[in-house]
Amino acid sequence: MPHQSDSPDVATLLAAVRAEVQARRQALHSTTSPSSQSALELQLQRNAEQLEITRVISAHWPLESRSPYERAINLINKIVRRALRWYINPIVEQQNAFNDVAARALRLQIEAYAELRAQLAELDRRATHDRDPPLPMTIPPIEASAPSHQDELLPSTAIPATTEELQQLVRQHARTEPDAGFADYQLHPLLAQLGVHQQVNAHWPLVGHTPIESAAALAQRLMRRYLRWLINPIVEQQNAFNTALTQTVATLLTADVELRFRLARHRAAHVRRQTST
Amino acid sequence: MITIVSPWYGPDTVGGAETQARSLARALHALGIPVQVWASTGRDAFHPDDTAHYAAGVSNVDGIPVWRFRPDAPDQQGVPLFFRRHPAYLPPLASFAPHELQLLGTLLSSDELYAAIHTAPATTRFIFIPYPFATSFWGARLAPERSWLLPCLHDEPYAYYSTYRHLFQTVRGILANSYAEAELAQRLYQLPARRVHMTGEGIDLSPRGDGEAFRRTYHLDSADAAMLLLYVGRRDESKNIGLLLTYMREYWARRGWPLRLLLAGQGLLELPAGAESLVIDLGYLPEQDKHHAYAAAQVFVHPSIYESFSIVLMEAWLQGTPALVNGACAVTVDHCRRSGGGLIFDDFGTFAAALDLLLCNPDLRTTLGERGRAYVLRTCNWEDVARRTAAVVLGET
Repeated sequence: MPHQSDSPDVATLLAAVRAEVQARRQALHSTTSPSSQSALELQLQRNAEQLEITRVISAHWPLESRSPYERAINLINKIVRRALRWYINPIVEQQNAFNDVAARALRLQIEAYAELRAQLAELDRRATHDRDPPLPMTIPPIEASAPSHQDELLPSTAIPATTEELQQLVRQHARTEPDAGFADYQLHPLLAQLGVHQQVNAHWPLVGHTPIESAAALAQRLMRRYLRWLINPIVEQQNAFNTALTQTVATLLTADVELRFRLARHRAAHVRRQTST
Repeated sequence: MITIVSPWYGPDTVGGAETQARSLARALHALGIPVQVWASTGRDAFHPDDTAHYAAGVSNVDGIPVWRFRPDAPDQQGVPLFFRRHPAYLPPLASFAPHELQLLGTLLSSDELYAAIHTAPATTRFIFIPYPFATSFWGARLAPERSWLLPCLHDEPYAYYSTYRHLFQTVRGILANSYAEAELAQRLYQLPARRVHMTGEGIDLSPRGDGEAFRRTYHLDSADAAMLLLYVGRRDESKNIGLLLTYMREYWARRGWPLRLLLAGQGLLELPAGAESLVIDLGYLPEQDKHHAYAAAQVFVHPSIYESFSIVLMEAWLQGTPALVNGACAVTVDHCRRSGGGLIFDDFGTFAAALDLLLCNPDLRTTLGERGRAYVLRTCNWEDVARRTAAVVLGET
């Protein structure tokens, strides 16, 4: 289990990052027309930023003191914090690893939602414009029930002899294919990562290779044993939340994929109607 | 005598490597080459708890002697107890990461098997299949100069483990299923070309599929003008099914053509609600129905990136069906380039463009299907594979 150095700069750095994100948000909002994004989309954007601002936990926030008495107390606190960093930091690092994946997963779900909204908006737009021209396609539109009438697209005499030549045709056609977003597909590996990181462990092996290290490890084991009344319940509560969040992300993904298939059916039906008229 | 060592073997056993072991044994036997099989009493990887499915001892499968051994658990480090009793055969354990040994420790192992390899006559030549299993890793330790590895190697995370590097580097030679697999083995383990032999793999060349019969049986009669795209194989994430479903969904939505994606094979697949308009999950198909399905499909789609040979691609080509394969899979891409029987996709754009070309051009489909079929007939004859294998394993002194 890696140990983080007791750097007082961590909290300062975090504060600077948070301030910069907030400044960017304000700048963005001042230049974005309120009408170009719905209130919900703006709120989702703010949520995503808030996730980025808050996902990193630090065990080393500044200890400020105004009086000699507070300075004395803080000195003791700093000594205790430094003495316990072998115990606290690895727990915090594990939670940060989970938070990092969780924040990425939620940002992707926000993207997935935006993709769905865009597809729905496009479908609505086309449905309300009966006289829209046929949809652009990589090949000319064909009868939905009989795509074979495009036989002349590549007559048998023109079929390239090698795979490489055929692949050139494929790449040429592919250049005209509009981009597609697959946020739902990108979420799958993150779901697996959430599963890996959701259980924070407060009881990793403490061993030493030399007599001095072994003695230090024994002292740490005894200290950890004593402090488990304090730390274990905190870790268990956090783990329960982590598990619940992982399950929620999984369920949201299932719901998202279901919506995409239903929407795809409507999009396909619309294309069929358009190409048959 | 050639002895094939496989974790599982028998009439109830399924799995790509296990099927290959059985077909190779039959082909060697048919050539009159002395061959036997050593395996465990377990059923297969899909039934890990069924460790006593077959009776221990010697039996006969397809006229070939099969000696089955009871599985044993290794020690806490993942080392079989046989090797603790014979430490001279231990590999350099300290050079392996603990989790690599522990992975081997979770896989089927048999001290009885190792004892049999240890006492086998010096004339016995071993073929261990496939590479990740404890039976191959520990078994080959006992007679490396008489051991050939038929690895079924994929470019997967495990392939980079130091335990497997050790295995590949210490056996006498490697028997590759494809040129791309041979190149991968040479690259990953810095093996000289003379130690890696492209012996290939065969398939049964006799099946004849009937597309109309398939449409009738599965209620896809000719009135249903839907174009059929087929995937056959394990229906799980290891074969990239998620990518296939995602790309097909978008393609269907954009084109609007009546399409059906047929999925056939083993494994648990929970189809998303709403997918039923596009996807038909056929589950595990009877052998003849599978060949009918290949014949019925307009395109065989193969999104997997972990292949060492790809039997299903050869089976599809045998029925004259063109293929669309994932550009990230060196093996299937190499097959396509050598045969001319398929197209390759790298992303959604090339996936859609390749499908456009294939679905709108029956002549192209026919031409590619014929090229693929000719390639299979030329390269996948088991008799030829058995001759090449015997020449390597028995021919080297």
